[in-house]
Amino acid sequence: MPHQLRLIRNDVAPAPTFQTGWVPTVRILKMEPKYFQAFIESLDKFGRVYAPVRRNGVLTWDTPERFEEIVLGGEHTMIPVKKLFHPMRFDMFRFDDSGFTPDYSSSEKRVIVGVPPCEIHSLLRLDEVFMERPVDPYYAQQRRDSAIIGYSCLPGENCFCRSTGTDIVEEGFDLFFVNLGEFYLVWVGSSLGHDMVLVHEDFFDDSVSHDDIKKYIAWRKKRDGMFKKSFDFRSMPDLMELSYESPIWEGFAERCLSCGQCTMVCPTCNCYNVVDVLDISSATSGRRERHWDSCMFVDYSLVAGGHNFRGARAERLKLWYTHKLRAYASEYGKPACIGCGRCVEACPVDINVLTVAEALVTMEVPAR
Amino acid sequence: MSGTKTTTSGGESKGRERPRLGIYGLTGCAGDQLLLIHTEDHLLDIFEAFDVRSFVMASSNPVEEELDVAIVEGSVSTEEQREHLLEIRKRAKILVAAGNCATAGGVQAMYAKDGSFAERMRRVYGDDVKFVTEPIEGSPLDEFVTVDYYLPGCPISQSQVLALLSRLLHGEQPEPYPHPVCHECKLRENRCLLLDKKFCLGPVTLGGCGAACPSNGVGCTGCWGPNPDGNFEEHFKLLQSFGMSKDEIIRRVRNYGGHKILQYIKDLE
Amino acid sequence: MIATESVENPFQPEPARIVRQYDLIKDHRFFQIRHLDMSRAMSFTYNPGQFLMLSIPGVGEAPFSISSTPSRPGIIELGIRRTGRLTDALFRKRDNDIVFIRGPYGNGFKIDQMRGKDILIVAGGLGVIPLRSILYYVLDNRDQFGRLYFMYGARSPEEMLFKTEFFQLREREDIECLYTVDRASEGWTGEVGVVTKLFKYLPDIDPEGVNAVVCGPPVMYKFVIKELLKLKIPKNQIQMTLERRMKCGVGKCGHCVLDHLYTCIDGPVFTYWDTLHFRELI
Repeated sequence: MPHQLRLIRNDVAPAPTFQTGWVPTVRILKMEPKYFQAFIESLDKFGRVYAPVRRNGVLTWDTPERFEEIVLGGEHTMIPVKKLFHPMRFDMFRFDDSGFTPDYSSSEKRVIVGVPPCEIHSLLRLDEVFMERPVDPYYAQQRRDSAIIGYSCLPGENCFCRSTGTDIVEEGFDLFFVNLGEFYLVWVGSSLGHDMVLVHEDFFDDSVSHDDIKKYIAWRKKRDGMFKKSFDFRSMPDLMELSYESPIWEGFAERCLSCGQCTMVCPTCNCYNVVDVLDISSATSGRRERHWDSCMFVDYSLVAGGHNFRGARAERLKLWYTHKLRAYASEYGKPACIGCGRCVEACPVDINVLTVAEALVTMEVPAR
Repeated sequence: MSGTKTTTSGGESKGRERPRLGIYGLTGCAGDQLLLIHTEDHLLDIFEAFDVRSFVMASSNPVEEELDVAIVEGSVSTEEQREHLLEIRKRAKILVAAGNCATAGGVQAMYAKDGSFAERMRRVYGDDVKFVTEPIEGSPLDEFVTVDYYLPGCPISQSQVLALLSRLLHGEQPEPYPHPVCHECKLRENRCLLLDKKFCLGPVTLGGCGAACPSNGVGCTGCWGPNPDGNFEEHFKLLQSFGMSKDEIIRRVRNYGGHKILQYIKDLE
Repeated sequence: MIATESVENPFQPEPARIVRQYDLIKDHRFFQIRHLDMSRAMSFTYNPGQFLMLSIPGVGEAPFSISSTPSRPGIIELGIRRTGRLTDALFRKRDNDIVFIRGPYGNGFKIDQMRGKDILIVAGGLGVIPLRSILYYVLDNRDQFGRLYFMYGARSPEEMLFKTEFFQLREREDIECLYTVDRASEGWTGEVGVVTKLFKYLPDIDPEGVNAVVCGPPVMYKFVIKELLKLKIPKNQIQMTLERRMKCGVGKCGHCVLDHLYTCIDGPVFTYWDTLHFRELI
């Protein structure tokens, strides 16, 4: 699966290779649909299975009680898979008078089933932050303990991952299932993935016929033709730079509710806050917690003494879009946006990557 | 991992006397005091860590003297309560306003400062009624005294109470939480009610409740009080686009907004 | 699944003892601290301009500039203004009490680029705290640098930090000290006015041969840089150290982000040239 968009600008070096554990795609196997359920159910020997399931009417990453609960292949979860690696809240340390003791108890062996290509890319983006030295041991441990079973999807109403080059993956999974209806094509992406195949070797067929390949190509073509949303990501870094002083930011700021939903549903947002929580006790003891934070909140850039580097709403919005559309690209050579459309769906006032991108071109804040 | 654990000489808290705590109720439903009692696992910890001098709801032998921390629930609604509050303030090093009534005035302050108090009193009680103590329009504590910390909400949140008390126990200050309800609402993976054009005050209301109402499909009623960073103008426009009248929106934000909402809506009415 | 080597926890705070502490001025205190582990204390080194994350269990953690110089190892010095929850708690600590630190973090001043050059240090108010590190580093390695000019502006003589030691510096031949205050009081014989008023006392300099380091309140940078550019000092030879909110110190938590840079790992020292690309910097 060739990667379409590697470099955003010509003058930046390719991202560093730090994925020492990945082995190159070894082979592509075929599986008949009738085996799929039994295969997925066999994965619990490799860890606790997580998958998209519906809870209170909302699709979420959780542990399915039955195979039938798993929702695959299209609709994406409201909160992305990042929550399984960068938890919304967890204890980093226990502390007492004598010091801080790390708490790694939130990590467990997991098999995450049904991760769409864009979210696999989001994890690779988060790796660039958390796995860069010094490595974040909490994230790293959960990443090490998790197997990724990717699953193909057809674009939804607000998907534009073709514009961000994240509609296909070439790394970042142990197994990847492409659902072609009549059969699955299964990419084996790691040694562990291969071990999973070996448990039920009889489910897999390594003779892929010419006809199968044709069907795969036809499916790719059909899928590529289904995208309804797109934007020109390549021009965004320059447009962001040129629009730094543009009135569109004030225009969006007047509308923005600063509710922070865009950042929490964004698969590549990683900002967090750290808070010490004391026990109700005369002794000094408690825990140091990490919580998801958002650059849309007023205290994000507030320092002790009261100076706020981004008190104005426009500054906060500009920071987020700079990060998504320009800054991350300069640093790592690819967009921080993975084109999943969650911000399009989450914002109650229609501020999202697409409307901002449009405004950067037209210099007008689009009407709601 | 370099788990550094070292024995060190005495922490400050050791050997210190337990801080004296008093818990009081003015006009309100006493739900916040009840919530303190319902901290269950932690109630004993509170009684062990603090020297609880006065908590009429839990113990009938109050000792009214100097306090390190006074937690006061309810709005000030009579002259007698105002005097009681002033007297508590004098005795307490730290005064905490607990609950929507104490922080904003409560639902009894939904018409705060609109000039109709005397008329409303007359309509309800008639002209010649004699009161035991002079009534005051329901007011938050900080209309009369300096409040050190606020525990907003109807009722207050257990985790915020514990976070506050544990800091005060060690002579430390609590962490502010200036984020909208939407923060916790999204962490609970709720679908945003605004997307379905349902009334919700989440973006203009301070969080801390754990998004209690939206998590049950009910729009936020604003009981934590206004989020000073809230974009009231835009949010009201959004609610109007759902078909609500501005008067209705204002009425609803005033429900729990009491005295505290007034500055945020004065140019929007 | 991803293979990773076993990693240290970069967020692990290490215990350190407050060796000595005293008030510099009201609400500004000087702390000398040392790692409890003696071998750690002796091997701990850093660059001038780097910072530490300092924790008090149950209160929190925040970044503080290191004010001492690595040329005087064994003791870490911090100058701290009392300004919030953590510093309130820190100011209640006494000698021999334990605090927790991790670091050093950040890039520090570009010492290699400064060697052999004339050094111009421009400090405003609290900005003198991180600059004191590079000041003493230059003095302790005096033969590696050219002429040394030290400008420091405070609000008033009473609000000068490190006043005694900085006044003693004036007796040295190998440093030119220029001090000013916004408001003079009795006995003050120096300059009165903002720090830029001191530039008139500079002798003729070869701008290419000068490295300037600047730290002060946000409003100060614009005016000082204007003066430095008037002197024709190259833009990448003007370094400044910046403050931002930080929760991790190691480029993870996001708070100190500036465009694609993190103040904690790509800063806190930036050149004026950097700020032309990243407009949020100053």
